[in-house]
Amino acid sequence: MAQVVAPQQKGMGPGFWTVTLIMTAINIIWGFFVTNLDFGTLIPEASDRAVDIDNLFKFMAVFGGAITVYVTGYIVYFCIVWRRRATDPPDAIGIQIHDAPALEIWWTIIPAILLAVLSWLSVKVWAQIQFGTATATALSTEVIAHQFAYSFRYPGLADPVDEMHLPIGKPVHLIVTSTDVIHSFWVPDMRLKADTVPGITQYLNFTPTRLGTYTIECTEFCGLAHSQMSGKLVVESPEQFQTWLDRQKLAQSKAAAPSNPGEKK
Amino acid sequence: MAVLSTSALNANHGVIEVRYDDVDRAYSVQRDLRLLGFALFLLSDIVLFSMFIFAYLYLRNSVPLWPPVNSLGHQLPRFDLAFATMNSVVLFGSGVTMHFALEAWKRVERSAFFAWLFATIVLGVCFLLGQAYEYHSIAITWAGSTMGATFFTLTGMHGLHVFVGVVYLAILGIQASRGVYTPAKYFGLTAGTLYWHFVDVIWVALFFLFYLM
Amino acid sequence: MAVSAIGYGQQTFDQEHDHIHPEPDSFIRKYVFSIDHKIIGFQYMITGFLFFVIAGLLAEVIRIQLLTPAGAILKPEVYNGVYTLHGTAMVWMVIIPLVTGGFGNFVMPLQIGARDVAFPWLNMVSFWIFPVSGMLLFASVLVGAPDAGWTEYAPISVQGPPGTNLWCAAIFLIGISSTMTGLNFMVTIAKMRAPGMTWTRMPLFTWATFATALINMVATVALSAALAALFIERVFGVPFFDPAHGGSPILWQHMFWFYSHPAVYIMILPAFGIISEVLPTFARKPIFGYKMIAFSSLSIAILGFAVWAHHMFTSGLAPWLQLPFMLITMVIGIPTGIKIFSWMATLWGGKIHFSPAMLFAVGFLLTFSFGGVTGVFLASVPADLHEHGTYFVVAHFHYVLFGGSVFGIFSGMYYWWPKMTGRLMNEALGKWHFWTTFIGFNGTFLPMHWLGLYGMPRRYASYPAFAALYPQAQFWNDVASGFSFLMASSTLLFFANMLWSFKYGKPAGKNPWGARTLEWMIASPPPYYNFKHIPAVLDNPYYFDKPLPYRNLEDEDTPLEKPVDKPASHRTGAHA
Ligand code: HEA
Ligand code: HEA
Ligand code: CUA
Ligand SMILES: [Cu+2]
Repeated sequence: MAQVVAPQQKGMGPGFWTVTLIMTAINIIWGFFVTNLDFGTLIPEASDRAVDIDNLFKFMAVFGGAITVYVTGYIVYFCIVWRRRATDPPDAIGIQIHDAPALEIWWTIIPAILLAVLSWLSVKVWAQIQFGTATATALSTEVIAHQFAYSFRYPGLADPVDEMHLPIGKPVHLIVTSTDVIHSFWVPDMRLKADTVPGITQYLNFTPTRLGTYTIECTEFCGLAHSQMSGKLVVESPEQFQTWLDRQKLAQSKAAAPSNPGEKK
Repeated sequence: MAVLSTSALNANHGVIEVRYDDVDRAYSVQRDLRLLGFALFLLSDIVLFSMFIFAYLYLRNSVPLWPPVNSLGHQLPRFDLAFATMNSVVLFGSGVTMHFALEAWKRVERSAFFAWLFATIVLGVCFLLGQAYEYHSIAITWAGSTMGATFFTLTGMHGLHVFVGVVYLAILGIQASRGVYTPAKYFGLTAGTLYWHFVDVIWVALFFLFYLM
Repeated sequence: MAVSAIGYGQQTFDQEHDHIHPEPDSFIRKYVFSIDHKIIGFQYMITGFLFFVIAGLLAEVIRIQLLTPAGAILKPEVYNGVYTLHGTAMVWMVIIPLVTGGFGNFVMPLQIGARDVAFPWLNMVSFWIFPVSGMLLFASVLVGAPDAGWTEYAPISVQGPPGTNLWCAAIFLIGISSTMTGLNFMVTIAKMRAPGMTWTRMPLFTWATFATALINMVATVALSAALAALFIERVFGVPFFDPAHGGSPILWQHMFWFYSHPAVYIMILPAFGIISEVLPTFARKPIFGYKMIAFSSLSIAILGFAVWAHHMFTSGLAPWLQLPFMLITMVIGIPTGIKIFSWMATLWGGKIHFSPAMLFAVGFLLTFSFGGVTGVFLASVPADLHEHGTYFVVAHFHYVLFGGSVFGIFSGMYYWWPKMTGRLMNEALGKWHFWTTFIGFNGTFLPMHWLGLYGMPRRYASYPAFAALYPQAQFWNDVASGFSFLMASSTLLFFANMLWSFKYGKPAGKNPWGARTLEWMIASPPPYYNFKHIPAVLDNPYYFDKPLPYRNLEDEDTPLEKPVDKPASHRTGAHA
């Protein structure tokens, strides 16, 4: 068999550093763009944890974007520069290099560092979410999911209500359960999610930080009307909240009074 | 004869000498394949039991009290340790007899082999009968509680393995009596023994988990 | 000394298959209940692609349904069955059978210089379970299709329609088949490599198949256990998962994901293997970092067993357990990154020929690494609290499953098709197939990322609440649907190409790509005995500037005259 001679190559090839520079520039611009972007203008950030999670997401978007740009950019660039040309002999072969330990160490270490940083930031946000809310003084409310709606039980209210109201700025301690199958309680605008698992209680601790009406969705398949299972969360001023709560109390006691005891289940 | 004797190989890399008796060599390769295959099969079986054991431990840990309370609020009874111990001794005994059976085969003591094998089968059947008795006398049911669910599923799976083992050993006995195996070639017997010991080992785990823990 | 020169000493010589059985002559034994690994591989491919079309059409039904927020055509009860069958079939009836049963069977024994797998008969049984279980799965439609998604979370699955029982049975069976295939392949690779093929001379596809077989052997049984438990709970009311009777729904999730996370590596590792063969061949370069690629497959396979709970971050897992699962999940990014970078380095300095196989391989690099990065986004616990259960997850796994596994499958089909059939496919048509698929794919699944982040949950037959929340909801869903039609049509080009090649394809010859692994050293299609003489292997295959590292192949060009059934008594040793 006739031996083909492998081409030799000094340096990284034509245009490599230019391309690297361009991609780095793109990444720097992307980084500035993302870090200065107010995510709140895209999706409202209606709780304290929303801001933390979005910051984490910003970090991921910056380095995930960088990885995507470098990987995509280099692949496309290599494919163009190192393509076989019409002038190449049919048995032409590439540069016969099969290892470069220094390089391999770098591309093990750099992702490892990135992932370590991401883990560290994630742990910090996680700790903030888990332990950052003063539960002792918090408003304790129960979310009860059932096919196919959410009910909410407030301290001082005898019966659950089907709309959630919260006062702005006050820590909330949500107790999340289900009476039938698994649902998942999700308020996208608050980055607030917990599966509601029958037989298990989960807790969500957070502080609403923005006035408004928010949608609650169900993100775990729970039966035929899964896609119609939604609810309403109203964040209002403490005074409004108190008024609402009083009104509910009144309504419930009115409803309870005329009914005879035998009717109650 | 000249399969590997290409000139190129010789020229570049010297002569490869392979000396063996071909038939035996072929057998040992086959046995090698089957042994590894069989070992992997047992490994997958271990995973099967492990998953249910995991389920048992998980369910057990998810309630405050074990044995759990039933729907009427009564705590379920514990299993009968004394009887199970007796039955375990029967099973472990069968492991010992099986070991002797294989040793006898290797030493070309045919009648001893058949005697030991027969003892193994009898003990295996005794174990199954014992288990049937236990199922019958026990106060809990399969569908009644998580304890029943895990207990009957795990011991049932194990019992099924014992049953398959008994049938398997019987078949091996018939094959041996028909001269399928020779003193030098008896992979089936090795596999049967391995399987039987495996079933024993699983029982050790189950015994510990259900009766001692 | 002479012996160690080709590493003969460590190898078990493939003596059993060293004697050649005569080819069966009845049609049934030859093509239906065949025990020839090549035919079985083909059977897997035909069946797998058949299910691919069905599952793909179901996907198109999903996309049509989501054209309007109210749901365009289906009632929820039908829609739920549709995506459940789509996901189930794609995972168990398409990708896993294709990458392990299809490519593993056809390619792996050829690559290691064996005449068949270790247990050919078992192999046949494994295959025939597959169509049976596929039919069981789709028969569930007749009695009420399963509707709780491919993950069948308890307790809703315990109460689900009767078809769920068939679902359990079907997946249980295909699981058994996978386990047996894994066992078969592990023994084959461990014991039947040609003399001289040490572990570090093994082709990378074989390496990947080995790592996959390992997962199949260990993890798939766990799935069988979970399914058995669900089945007896549904049929006999035995409490495992239903909290109403003391069971635990979370237990199902543990048992399911203990299998199903490793299963995603079952689906991707063979694709990694395919890419590792295609890239060096068409770049005319040795694979960069051979050992790192081989060992990273193994480490991914092993690490993959310790990350399953990253699917359960919102499900009530004890909080302190979330952190270790997050960390180990992140760690998997490192060996995967090593692979991606090594493949990029393989492109560098090459003489790249863009055949359709190569285009799909390069496409794989782009889309898979993107999907992997979004996987890391999901691995971060706090971020997952927002992303879980949304279309962001759907986007992630289609990038890794379609952009990874399916691109790998297409690449492998273009690559090995000439070997399988002896004919070349049409390159121009193949390029059209690539570009339409690539564009259609990205157009379909890219928008799903922001749909999910803006608040669109999965498994929604309609999205009125989301459409009220996000004004462009319908627009982006329609974009996704539109591109998905392009992607579906593009698949027609692929099937057309296969048919074209049967009729017009040029004869491929032994080695149309100038590849260097063993399967290319023999005729296309390979004779039923593969190798007349078992080859000897002297070196790693991927050095393009060196002579081919094989001996004992001189005789392979002339077919064996007459089928012989020699006893295993002829010597395999060389004589002086
Ligand atoms: C390997 C796996 C795989 C593959 C290849 C695909 C391929 C596709 N998937 Fe799927 N998908 C899953 C695995 C996969 N999917 C899984 C596991 C789920 C989760 C299910 C669950 O929630 O339980 C899911 C869920 C899922 C959803 C979410 C459903 C929901 O949550 O409500 C959607 C929505 O768009 C979707 C779309 C698609 C589309 C458009 C394709 C397309 O790429 C398909 C294109 C291919 C074809 C169409 C086949 C070729 C057809 C022909 C050649 C015939 C000609 C056809 C025409 C001209 C129309 N998939
Ligand atoms: C082929 C299948 C496949 C593959 C390979 C992967 C790979 C990965 N997956 Fe994915 N995943 C699925 C299929 C797959 N996944 C499916 C089907 C689901 C949904 C199931 C369901 O609910 O229906 C899912 C869901 C899923 C979740 C759960 C989401 C949720 O429901 O909340 C998570 C969370 O951690 C996750 C993470 C990962 C990670 C970290 C990887 C990693 O292995 C990826 C590693 C790769 C890279 C990271 C890219 C290459 C690396 C570099 C270029 C180096 C530099 C990179 C960095 C420094 C980051 N996946
Ligand atoms: Cu409730 Cu979905
Ligand atoms: Cu996973």
